[in-house]
Amino acid sequence: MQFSRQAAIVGVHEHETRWAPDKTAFQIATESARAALADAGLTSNDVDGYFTAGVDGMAPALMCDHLNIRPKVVDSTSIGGTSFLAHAAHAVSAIATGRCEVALITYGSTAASHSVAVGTRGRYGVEIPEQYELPYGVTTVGAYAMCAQRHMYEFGTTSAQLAEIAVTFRRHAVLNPYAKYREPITVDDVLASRVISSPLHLLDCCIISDGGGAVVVTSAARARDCAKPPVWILGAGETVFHPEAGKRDFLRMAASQTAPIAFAQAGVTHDDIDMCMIYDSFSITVMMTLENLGFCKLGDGGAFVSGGRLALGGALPTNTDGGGMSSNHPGMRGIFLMIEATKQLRGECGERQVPDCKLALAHGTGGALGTRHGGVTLILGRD
Amino acid sequence: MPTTYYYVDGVPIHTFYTGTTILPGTPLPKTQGKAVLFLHGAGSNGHVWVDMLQRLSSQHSPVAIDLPAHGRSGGLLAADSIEAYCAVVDAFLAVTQFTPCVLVGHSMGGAIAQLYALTHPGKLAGLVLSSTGARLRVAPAILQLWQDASMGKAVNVYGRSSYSDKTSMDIVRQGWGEQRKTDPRVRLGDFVACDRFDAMARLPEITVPTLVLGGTDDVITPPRYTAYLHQHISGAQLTMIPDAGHIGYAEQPEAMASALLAFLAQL
Repeated sequence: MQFSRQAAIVGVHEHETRWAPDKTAFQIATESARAALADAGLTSNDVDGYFTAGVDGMAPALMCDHLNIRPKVVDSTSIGGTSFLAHAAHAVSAIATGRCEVALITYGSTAASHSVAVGTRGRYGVEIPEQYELPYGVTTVGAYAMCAQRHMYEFGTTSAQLAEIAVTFRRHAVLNPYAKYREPITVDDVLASRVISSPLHLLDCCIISDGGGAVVVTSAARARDCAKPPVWILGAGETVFHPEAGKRDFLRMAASQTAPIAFAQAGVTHDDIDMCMIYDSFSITVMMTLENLGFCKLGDGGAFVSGGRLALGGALPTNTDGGGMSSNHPGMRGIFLMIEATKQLRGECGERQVPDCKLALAHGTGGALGTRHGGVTLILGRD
Repeated sequence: MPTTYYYVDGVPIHTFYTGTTILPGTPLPKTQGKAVLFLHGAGSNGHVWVDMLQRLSSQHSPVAIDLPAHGRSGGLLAADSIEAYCAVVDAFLAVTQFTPCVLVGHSMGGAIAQLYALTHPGKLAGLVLSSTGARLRVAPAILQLWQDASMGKAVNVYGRSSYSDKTSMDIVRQGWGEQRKTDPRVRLGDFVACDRFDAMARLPEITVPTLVLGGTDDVITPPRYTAYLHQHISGAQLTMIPDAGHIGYAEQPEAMASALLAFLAQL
């Protein structure tokens, strides 16, 4: 059975809040779900598949209770911040095989107002497979920083090249009224900000915010009756990456495995892509993801991101919402990649619209480079 | 204190009430005394009224709400006009069947209450205007500060100018805690709404029995604002609360509660 065009994204909503200390993650997810369903012209009564992550144990059941839905398919695959992209791929499979027809994916988090130290806790080394990180107390940012160091050592990549990524996404955030940080910054600002984990500066890192969102995926037949034009899921690749029993490679990512699958399913090439949404946990994540996706050769990332290529008006506009580095990052950003890509394909992005956007690529990375991470590539297209 | 949600134009409105718990979606109880609805000020939320609700709960049926985008209510950005908030209040009263009621509005909530009294007098049994004015201009520097805060340029700075010098820091800190709950963009929207509000010429049209409350030490809506309301709303009563700044309900809760109870007893 062919994967491409079996199902489409028909409803999206990104919760506008970036700061909601008085709300619960459930409430943010629920408000987003209502809005995404309304966007699709559907109601919660239509939902028969439910997908979420970022919540523990029985929380999918709590959320279904909260939303009063009785799904036929439930999936809480949790492979880091990218999980929601995996959910979209799983939803396509579930819809194609007739297990459900309207899949709802939700996310909600109050990471900022509840002072969750996303990425800076010494969180690696808790489980047995992490025994080689445990003695060194590696944090998430520390793991990404190691990869950045390696990239600089191998290829001569500079901090200024990484900084351009942060500067570009902030320029996009200026055009997004909901972005948390909207004051323009320069390469010098990034280089002058304090070092969090060498060589990554504060402004090389994603922010921490509250927020959430929801996405509705439905069958090709049903999509025709929805309120908005369908955004087709053309291809999806998904995997988890790990140190491969000691053959640790700091420069390869899950993206190197997922991209060829997604491109093959979609039947398109890199040159066809009009815009990208790349999980920007850190500036280095974007550079390495673009290399691993095959947009440029391994090691050429520094030159590739220079000269405004990723900016609106450039050859490959990326993270047009401002990304996790400027707009929002409540801990797991994957869902926002799909939401912004969908809005771009629908032409709903106003000032930050990519002209005549027909094909978009979203790639999420969850966990940490250099240790274990999940990676999912989605290729989305309009009619 | 029990709370519930009512969907008002698709937006869940977080509602505080007293007495026994009610089932979702049922009308708000007005089992005793007067039905009283409290409206909070700019950038605040309904939780600030909990103490006042408790003080009224043995004789009346008091309720407070989080306006959209404040506290736990849904709705994501502030309405940028008092008219829009007025429409929310009207829809809320319809959904909850909580009319006729006494509207207690503090500061921006007072602006909403004035406009509501002008446009829907039949739905009100009384009006309490607490630390507010017929016109609520906001200094350009304040608007700029919150514009900057919304753009991520300024750290949220809270001062104690809203409070009397005699008010303890504990109370001030508690107030800051409530203020911090609001997204700076929402507060900015509130201030823009306040800045545009001007009911000075229309005050004589207010026919609802009115109590005007003010703090003697209020520099945000100073006593001359309250005096103006008192003079231009026919039959309005005035109670000035000693040693209170702009946040009378927290600074002098007993004095405010007794003024409210006395007024409600006359209605």
